[in-house]
Amino acid sequence: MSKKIGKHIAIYGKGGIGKSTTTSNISAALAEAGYRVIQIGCDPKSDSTNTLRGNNYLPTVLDSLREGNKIHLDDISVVGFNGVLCIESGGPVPGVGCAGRGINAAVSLLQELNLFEEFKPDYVLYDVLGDVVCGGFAVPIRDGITDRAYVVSSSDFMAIYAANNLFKAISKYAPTGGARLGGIIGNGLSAGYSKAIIDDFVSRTGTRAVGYVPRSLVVSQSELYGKTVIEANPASEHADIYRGLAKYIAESDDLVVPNPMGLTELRDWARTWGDRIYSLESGEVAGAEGI
Amino acid sequence: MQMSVKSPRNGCALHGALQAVEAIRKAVPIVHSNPGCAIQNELAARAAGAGKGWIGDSTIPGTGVQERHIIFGGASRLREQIKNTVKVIDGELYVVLNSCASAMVGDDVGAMTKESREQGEPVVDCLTAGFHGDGHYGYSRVMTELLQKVPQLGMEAPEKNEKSVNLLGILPGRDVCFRGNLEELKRILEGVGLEVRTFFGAENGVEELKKAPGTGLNLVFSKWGQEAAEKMEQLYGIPYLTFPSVPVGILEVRNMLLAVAERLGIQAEVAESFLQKEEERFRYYFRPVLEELYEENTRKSIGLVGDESTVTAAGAFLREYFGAVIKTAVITDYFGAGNAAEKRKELPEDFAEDVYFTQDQGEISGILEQSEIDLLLGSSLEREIAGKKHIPLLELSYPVYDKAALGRTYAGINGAVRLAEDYLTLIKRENRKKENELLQTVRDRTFIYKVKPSEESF
Repeated sequence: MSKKIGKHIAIYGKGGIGKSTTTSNISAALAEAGYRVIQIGCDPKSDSTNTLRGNNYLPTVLDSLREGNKIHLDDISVVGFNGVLCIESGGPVPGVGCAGRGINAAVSLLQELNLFEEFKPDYVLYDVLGDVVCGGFAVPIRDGITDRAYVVSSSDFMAIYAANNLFKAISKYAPTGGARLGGIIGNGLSAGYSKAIIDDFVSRTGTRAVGYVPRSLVVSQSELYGKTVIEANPASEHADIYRGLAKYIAESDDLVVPNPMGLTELRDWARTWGDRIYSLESGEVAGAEGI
Repeated sequence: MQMSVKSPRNGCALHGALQAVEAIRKAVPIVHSNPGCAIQNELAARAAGAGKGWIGDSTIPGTGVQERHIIFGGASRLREQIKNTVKVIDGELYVVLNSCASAMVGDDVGAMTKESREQGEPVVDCLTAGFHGDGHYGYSRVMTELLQKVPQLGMEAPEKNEKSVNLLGILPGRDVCFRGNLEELKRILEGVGLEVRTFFGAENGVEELKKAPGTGLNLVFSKWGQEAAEKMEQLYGIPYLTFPSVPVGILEVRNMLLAVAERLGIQAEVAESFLQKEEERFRYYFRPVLEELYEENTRKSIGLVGDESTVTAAGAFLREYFGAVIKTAVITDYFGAGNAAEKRKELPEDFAEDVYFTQDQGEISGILEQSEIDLLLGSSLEREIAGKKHIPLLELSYPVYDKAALGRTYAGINGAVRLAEDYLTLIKRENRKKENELLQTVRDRTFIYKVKPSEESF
C-alpha cells in the first residue's frame, strides 16, 4: 500500500470475547466525535458490523469475488450509524475452503478498489476473528496494512492464552514492519480480581491495559436491539467508557512490541493466580496481595 | 536442517503419480490443482522424452482452480470437472490426483469420487499433493492405491491364475526405457508360459489392474514397487519376489527366471529349454564382442549416476561382461527418512569403490570432478561435467534430453545387446577420436620436422 490514509487499527481476541461489540462501539464513538471511520469485519461469520447497520443485509467482499463480476465499492459497503462505513470480508461456510486465504484476498481487493483513497478515512478498524491460527489471520498485522493492534481479553485463562498467542504473532512480524501493540482492552470483567489478573499479565509481557469494560446489562440489551451502546444508550456509563477508549485509541501513539510468555511460564503464572483466588474465596487474607 | 538442492531431477509426488496414470492405457487422469501443475509435468517430461501415455501431454483434464476455489473450497469444481471429463473422454478408469493447493485447503476429494462411483462412473482418487514427496513416492502411492481401488470397481472377483505375474517398480518416464524394459521382461516371462501384467504396456492397463488380485506372484524390480507389493500381499495374499533391478544379461535373466519358476512351480525343463534358446541368442550376439574386448580395451573405469535400480542394472552388466571397473556410483533416489515409501537401500556394499547418495547436481559434479573415470553413465544433467572432464557420457538415466527411447530396452537379453552396442559405440568413438588426435599430432610434428631443415638451408 502506498501512502497510508488514516490510522489503521487491528482488533484481535479470543472468539466470543466481545471483539465485535467493542470494535463497533469504538467506531461509533469515533464517528460521534466527528471522525470518518471504516470498520472492516475480517471474519467468515461476517457479523462484525451488525450493530452499526441495524442488522441490514450487506453482501461480503468475498461473496462478490465468488460471483466473479466486476466489483464496485458500493456493492460491498454500507454506511451505518453516524456515517461509519461498514464492510465485511466474509469467507467460506464452516468446514470448507481456506478462510485465511479469504482474509488475505479481501484485504488485497479493498486496496485494489482504492477504498481508502475514495473514502479518506481518519480511522480504519479491522475486527479480526479469534485466534491467529494461520498466516491468513495475521495479514492485518503484517507490513503495510495496520500499524497497531489491540487485543480484547477477559480475565479468563483461555482469553489470556489467546492474547499471549497474538503477542507471539506481533513480536514475529513487528521487526519486519508489522503492527505493534497498542494494548489490551479488558472486557466483560465481573469478579473483583479480574482487573488485577489483566494488570499482572500486561506487566509481565511488557504491555499495557488501555481500558476496562465491566460486564453490563446495557451492552447485552443494546446488542439485542441491534445497536451499539453509543446509539442505544448514549447517556449510559458504558457509552462513556467506550468514548474514553475511543479517545485513547485516537490520540495515543504509544506502541510496544510485547514479550509473550512461554507455555510453561504461562501455565505456572495461571496456577499462582488459581491459588490466590482460591485463598481469597476461602477467606484467607495472606496471598491476596495485589488484588 | 536447511539445504539447497541444485537442479533436482526427481519432481514432485503429483508428477510421479501423473506419469504413471498417463502410461496406463484406458486410464484418464484428472488433476485437481491450480493451473500449472500438469503442464509443468508435461514440460519436464517432454524435455526428458519420457512418459507419453494415451492420454497425456497437454490434454490432461484438470480443475484449474482459481483463488475463489481456494477460499470457498474446490470440491464442487472437481465434481463439475469429473462430470465433464467422463462425458468427453472415453476412458475405462478416471483417476483424480490432488495437488498441494487442494490438499492444504482440505477439499474432500474422496467424497466427490465416491459420488461419481455411486452414479456408475469408474472414478478413483489418489491423494498426491506434491509436498508429500518426489516422483518416486508418487509412483509408489498411486500404484498402491490403484491396485487396491480399481479391482473393487469390477462386479465380481477376478479369476485366480497362479501362473501369472505383475511387474512392479519400473517407473514410467523415470525409467527412460520403461516401455522396452517392460516388453522385454514380458517376453521372457511369457516364454515359460506365464501371463504377464505390466500395467503400462500397449494392452488395456485398466483391465490388467482389475485382474491384478488374481495374480500368482508379484515381481518387484526396484524399491519403489515394494509398497504396492506389500499391500497386495496383505489384501490378496499374493507373495512377491524382489530384485535390486531389472536383469541385464543371460546370467541375470537365468537367475530371475529360475527363481520365478521355482516359486510358481514351473517345471525346471520348461524354464531350462527356454533359457537355452535365450543363451544361444545371447552367445550369438556376444561372440563378436569377445574380439572387441581386447582390441578396443573395454575395461574402463566408469562412473554411474542415476536411480539405484538403473545404476545397479547397467553397472553390474558392464562389470560382468566388459570388465568395467565401477569407480564411482551416485544414487539419486535415496531420500532416507524424507520418503515414507522408501523401504530399503540395498546397493551391495562392494558395488563400487565409492558410493554416494545425493540428488544435488552441484554435489554430483563435484564428486565426478574428483573421480578418476574414463567413461560416465548418467543423465543429460551430467553432460556438462563429462565435457569438462573430456570423457564420453552414455545417457541412460532420467532425464535424457536428446535421445529418443520408443522401444529401446536395457533389460533382459535384448537390452543387454542394446547396452553392449551403446557402450561399445561410445568406446570405439572415443578410441577413434584419440587415434585421430594422435595422428594429427604426429602429422604436425612431421611437418615441422620437414619444414625446419629446408628453412635452415635457405
